[in-house]
Amino acid sequence: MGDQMKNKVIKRLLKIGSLLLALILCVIFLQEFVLCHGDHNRERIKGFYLEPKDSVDVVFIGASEVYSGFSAPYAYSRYGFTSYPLATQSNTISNYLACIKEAVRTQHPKLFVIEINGALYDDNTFAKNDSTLRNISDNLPLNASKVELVKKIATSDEAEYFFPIIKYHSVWENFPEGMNWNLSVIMSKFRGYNLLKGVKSKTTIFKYKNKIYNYELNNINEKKSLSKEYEESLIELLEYCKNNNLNVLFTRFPHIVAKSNLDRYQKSLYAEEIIREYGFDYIALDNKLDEIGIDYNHDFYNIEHLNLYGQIKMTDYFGQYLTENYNLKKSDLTPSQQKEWKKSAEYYDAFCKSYDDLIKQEKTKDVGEDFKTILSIKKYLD
Amino acid sequence: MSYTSFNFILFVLATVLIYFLFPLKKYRWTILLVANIVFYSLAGYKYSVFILFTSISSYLIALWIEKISASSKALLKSKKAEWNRDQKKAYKEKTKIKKRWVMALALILNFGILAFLKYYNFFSGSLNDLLGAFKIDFSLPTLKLFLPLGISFYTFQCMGYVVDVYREKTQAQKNPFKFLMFASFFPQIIQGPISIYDQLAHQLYEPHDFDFARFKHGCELILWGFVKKIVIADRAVIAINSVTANYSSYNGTTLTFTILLYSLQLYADFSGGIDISRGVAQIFGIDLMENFKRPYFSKSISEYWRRWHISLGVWMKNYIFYPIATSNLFLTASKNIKKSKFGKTAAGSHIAKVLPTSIASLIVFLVVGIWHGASWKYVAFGVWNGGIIMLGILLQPIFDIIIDKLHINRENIIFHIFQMARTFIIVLVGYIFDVAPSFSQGMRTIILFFTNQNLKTGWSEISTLGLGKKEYLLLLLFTILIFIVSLIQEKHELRGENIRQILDRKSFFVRWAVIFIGVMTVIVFGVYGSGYNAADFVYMQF
Amino acid sequence: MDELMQILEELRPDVDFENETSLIDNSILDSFDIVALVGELNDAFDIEIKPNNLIPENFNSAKAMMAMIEQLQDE
Repeated sequence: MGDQMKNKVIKRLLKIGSLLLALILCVIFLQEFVLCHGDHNRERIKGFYLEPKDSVDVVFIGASEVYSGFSAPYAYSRYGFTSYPLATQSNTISNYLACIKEAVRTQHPKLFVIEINGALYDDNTFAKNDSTLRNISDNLPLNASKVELVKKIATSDEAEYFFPIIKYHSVWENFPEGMNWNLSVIMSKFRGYNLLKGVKSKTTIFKYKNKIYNYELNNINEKKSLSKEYEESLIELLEYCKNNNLNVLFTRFPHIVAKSNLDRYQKSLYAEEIIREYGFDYIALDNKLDEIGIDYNHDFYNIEHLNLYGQIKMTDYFGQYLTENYNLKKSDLTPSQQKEWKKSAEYYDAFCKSYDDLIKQEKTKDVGEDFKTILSIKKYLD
Repeated sequence: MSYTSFNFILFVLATVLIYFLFPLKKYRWTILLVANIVFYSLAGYKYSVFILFTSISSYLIALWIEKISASSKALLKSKKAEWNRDQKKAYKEKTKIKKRWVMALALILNFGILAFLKYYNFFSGSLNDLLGAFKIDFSLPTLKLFLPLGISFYTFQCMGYVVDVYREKTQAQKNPFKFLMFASFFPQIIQGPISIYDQLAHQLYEPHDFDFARFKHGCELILWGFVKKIVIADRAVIAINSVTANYSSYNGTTLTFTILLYSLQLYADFSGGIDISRGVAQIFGIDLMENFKRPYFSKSISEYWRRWHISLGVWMKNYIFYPIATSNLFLTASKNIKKSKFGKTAAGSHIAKVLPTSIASLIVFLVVGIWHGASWKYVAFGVWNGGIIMLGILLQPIFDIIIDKLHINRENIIFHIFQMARTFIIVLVGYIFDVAPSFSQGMRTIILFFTNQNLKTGWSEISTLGLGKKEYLLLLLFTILIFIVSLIQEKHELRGENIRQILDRKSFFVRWAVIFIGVMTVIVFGVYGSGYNAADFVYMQF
Repeated sequence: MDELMQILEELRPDVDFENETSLIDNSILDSFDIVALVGELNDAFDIEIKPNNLIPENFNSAKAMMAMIEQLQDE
């Protein structure tokens, strides 16, 4: 091939190559920030991956109880350790393992706190629900954990899980839905970290009539077995933690235990037994409401979740508990990292003040690190 | 494997690589043959027995016909001195009849299979209705029949070949594999274009070298096809399918809208698929004929059928229209009318002149109608189109007089727009019988158009068809895009240029941007993934 | 040739048959014209034009038509 011919071919290959490259970059950008399912789950998981390597001391795994019941920014400002809720709405225990593996890979945390409500659902509740899986899988990077997670469900539409843009490219029809959260993800990416560390709550004070109080719970010893699939996942999880010598504390966060969800409490007793058999610690916080100082009539926003008042009390108590029992020292952060966590604590403070005002105005809202909420709490910053 | 699936793209890429890297250039066509076989088997190898039968029978019979010709010519030559003129003529006639019977065998066998598979249930159903009306206690059973992929297309293509051999227009193909290659060419097997042996075959067998310009043009054409099919047609069909699922429950306004939407969807779907076919073939260095030339710019129904599904029109012209119109029967009838008393009048002489073409047109369109499907509504479709053309031919002189009397300038652009609008409306009426589930529903649609228009109801119904406002807006924008592209194509057609050649003249950046936007459009706005249900090619069941 | 030209001009007075060489390729004559022509030519020249004679090569110009007619007269 003559030189001129060679040049021509190279030129052509470069032209085509530049086109392909631009297309791939554009698709990746769209898949990451625009043509995706933007919600608080995505914001939280993406925020986790922004945390610098090995800088998070405690990783919480679980479902919505975790990010509504505990505040990482507040725990840092009060107790000095860093933490993060690697949790999504209605998360099931079958997804926990992928989360743990990711946390081990990126953070090597000193302690895992695993909230077990994800094992206590009925057979049918979330088992085959695509969205609970996608809350996690859509937001993981394309790596071994994600592949393992997707392969578990053995679907013919695998490509749609590995390349979510295939499923979500039509979200432009619902524009601007989702942009509230997508903007927040973009901003965190620019900033290099997120502000509220995945906290989410609702400005409601819930009152439930037929509670079972702590002293009644003590009389309930009858266990109920977990559904088969969840028990298998729990054991798989315990095996993994044991084989990798992970430092794990299992728990059930505070709930209002009533007749309607008593079976879950009973299942938690069953789960506790298995957990202890494996030699891991378990603390039943749903049995310690009085000790934590939680007011049934003030500190929940619904039967399953603490509101922000409850969150603060819970963080106070549990932060201390972890510090004392798990030898958590002040986090080993670089000065710039310390600045970032300090800023988070300040934003959380402003978040609380805004929450107070919304309660006073009797405005019921979901509040978290979405674009609109962040804008609205800026005025509460000192 | 749909032409717009990711798998098909991979399939084409693999075939392209293997084809152009295959060192034995003379045998490169075998790669395409293998590709055809792979493609067809993926569609359902169970039904491949039909295409094999048609291929083999066409191949053998064509050779047989040629053998008859050859031996007849040889005999004539040897008897040249011996026989007189009459004897030679008689022998030629005998040969011709023999060849005809052999050709008829091929036609009867293969069209017979097509007719049976496609129309048996229609025929038995109608017959049973008729017998029932006369209270005759006999009924034919309904069979569960499946249509093999592309049967309407490859049957027509192979039969065209056999007739061409009979007419001595073409030499028979001696290599059975080469012939199979022609019958099963994968870019055209799903929905055409129906190719003519002389035009296509040598292109298939000749070895082609990789040519970057052809590759580029092919890819650009494929991209445009994807845009039309995946972004426009598959989106529009969602709304259309909602309506046809419950046809009788919608009001006149909604139905009118649906028919209009259908005119967009059918064109985008069919021409988009053809673009992909032609683009793929172009990469291999093979030119498939154009099947669409801006049909909605037609000024008459005759012109429409020269711009829509062109290859079908060409096939009909060569193998049905001309044989019928120039047959002795018609020419004699025409002559007799001319000689008669009636034929001496102005009307009479005109009719005598155009009788063959007008009736032949009607017959052609009856065939075209039925070709589309086994139902009375398709017969109506054929009669409507054929009837309009026939009337148009017969009444042409009257139209001429009216135009003269009104002093209308035929070159006036307003007049052209009038003609296009008039033609489009006639086409839309034909489409009613495509969309409506039955003949009676079709008639009802026409009535509703005049009696049941309610904008408010229509608007609210239209928003329940599965497409949101943003999607209708998208469809509108792309309709405008197609319109603009069509105008450019129409203008440059006279120079013998297409848009890809125009694009070549622009700067690299313009081309780069156009392709980038095109691909992103398909990715972002395409109807694929679990958010949508894939819409099959409209013509795939043919 | 004169007879042919007369027939052609009567059929389509708007076409310049003296000079046109792409009557079919440029869609100047359509299939209806062809059929009408077939009838007239069959009569005038005592030939039998068959469908496979109806190819562009035979009808693109008056000259081509004349050649076809002469060929058919030989058969």
